[in-house]
Amino acid sequence: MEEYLNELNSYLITMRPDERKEIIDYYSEYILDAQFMTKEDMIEHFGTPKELAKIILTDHQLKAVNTNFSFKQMFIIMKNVFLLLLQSSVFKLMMMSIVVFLLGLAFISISFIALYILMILFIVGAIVGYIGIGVIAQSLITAITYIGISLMIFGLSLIIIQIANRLIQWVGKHIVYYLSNIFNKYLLKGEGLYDKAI
Amino acid sequence: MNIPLSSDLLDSIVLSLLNQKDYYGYELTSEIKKYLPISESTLYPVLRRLKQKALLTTYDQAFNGRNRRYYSINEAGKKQLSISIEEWKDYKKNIDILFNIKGE
Repeated sequence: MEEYLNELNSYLITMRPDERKEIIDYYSEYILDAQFMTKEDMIEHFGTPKELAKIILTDHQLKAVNTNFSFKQMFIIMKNVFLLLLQSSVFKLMMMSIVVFLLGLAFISISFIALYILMILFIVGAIVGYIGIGVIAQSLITAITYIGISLMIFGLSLIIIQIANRLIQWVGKHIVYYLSNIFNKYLLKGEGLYDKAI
Repeated sequence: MNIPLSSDLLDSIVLSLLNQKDYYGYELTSEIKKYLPISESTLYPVLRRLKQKALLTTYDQAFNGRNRRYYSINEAGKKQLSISIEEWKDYKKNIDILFNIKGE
């Protein structure tokens, strides 16, 4: 039973740990209740771990496209990929893992740069607004102009936040989706990864 | 004739069984297998989907030094079930007409 479930677990590497645990719990309970004694029993009833993983992952991915992207999920996938990289002796997989890792890293850097630009915009807006209020006693026209510019900068950053947020969500979601897709396909495509790597 | 079981239909069958009592995983699969040729890997995705749609709840109960997870229908599940049963009656009635089966 251990062997079967461990193998199943290894094919579900792109899933969240809590989801994986739930699946393993479900099947270990089932195996005990059904009194399957040998791995052959389990294969007879569930199919091979790989076949079972395929069913689970297909169902899971249908759902994955409909859920929101989160950095947490991305980190988990990156962490799993990294772990796989450590365990794997398969060259192709290693190269792919590196590419994936760099992609993820690039994506996160871009998000942070966007955040940085926004922060600068905000600070500039605040300073201009502050100057505007400062000169209100000397020249009303100048003050109004400055405050106006300041408000425009704030408005602009709000629009940018919206666009950037949508963009990051969209790109992130697709990266996560396609990466897990590639990995699941690779893991399940009879390269005997389980025997070689885990 | 091999009539495929749609996932909506299977969802409703599970809800209907849970409407009679709470089941644990193996028990539920065994009960359905008495009447329909489902595979033993079919039900996990169904249960997960129903839980995500908040049509059922789960709780764990100790059994022989381990846990058994029980599945229990909730109010939303019961509502969904009665809608599905009405839809099924309509569907069945129409198929019966097409098959020229006379009702009792």
